[in-house]
Amino acid sequence: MARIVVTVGMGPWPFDRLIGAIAPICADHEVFAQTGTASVRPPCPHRAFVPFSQLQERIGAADLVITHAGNTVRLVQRANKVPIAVARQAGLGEMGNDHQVCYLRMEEVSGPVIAVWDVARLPEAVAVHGTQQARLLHERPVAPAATPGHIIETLDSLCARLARSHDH
Amino acid sequence: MGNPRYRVLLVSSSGGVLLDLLALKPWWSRHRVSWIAVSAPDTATLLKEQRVRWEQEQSARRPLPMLAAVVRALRILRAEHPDVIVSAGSGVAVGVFIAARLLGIPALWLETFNIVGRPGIASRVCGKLAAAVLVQRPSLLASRPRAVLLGELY
Repeated sequence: MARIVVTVGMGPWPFDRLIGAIAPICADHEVFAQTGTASVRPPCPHRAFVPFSQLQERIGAADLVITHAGNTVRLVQRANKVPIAVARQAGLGEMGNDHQVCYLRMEEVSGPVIAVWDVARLPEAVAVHGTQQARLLHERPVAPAATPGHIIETLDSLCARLARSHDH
Repeated sequence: MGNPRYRVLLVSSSGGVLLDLLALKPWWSRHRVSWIAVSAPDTATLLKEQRVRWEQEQSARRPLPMLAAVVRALRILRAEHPDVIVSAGSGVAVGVFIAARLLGIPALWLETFNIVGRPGIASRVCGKLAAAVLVQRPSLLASRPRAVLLGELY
């Protein structure tokens, strides 16, 4: 039995397809789901929204994270875990456009992620996650994030060029 | 004389785009910051210690509400006098970026992490209006106007 966190982000679009598909996983694992604006309720502990710091704690403590293909994918990867990701699709009313689909198509061939396109196959993805995680983390290291110093230097330099300066 | 300090106006919807702006905190925490944000559970929690004007989300595809948003943004920008505006999205930024262009205030568009191809309409409009587009991936440098590589934020 794995400790699993499911998250669909904090945006306004419901993602019923993913939340509705986790029922079989709830039967076999210890699952907590952040459900956002989904209209379906999973058979496991769940909350619509979770403060970001708590979500990070839950991600850190989880064996496995199932997420929409939002920026959470990278957050999970930065925690040295391989997320299982499902892309929101505009045609199903899950997002205003298909940028999650484009992102996940790219990430599934280059990044440490397990993409699921048919949510009926989620249990299968969970079952193989343990064996795939170590290989993907080894074969597909994530590029380092920008340092605070680089962020400050880049933006201050841009501002010096663009904005009126105020010395105080 | 210390380092130059700017009046920075940060503009954000709910969701992942808010995380992008929060990841810039090492920079904006050194300046005088105010926010325009869409009211939602995450913005309410994460911005509770910030100075925020709450706005409704807008769609670039609905011109009349957008026009009203531009008028409100003009009023806010005239009151706040920001030196620079930064946003990663989404719809709420469009009216602010139009107002900023009208007033000659530089605005920076930050392409959120998981945009890897053709961006949505808010991103396309704001990218065109922006003084620079901050990208997190080198692969976007060629396709975004006035692109500056910031690197991955988290």
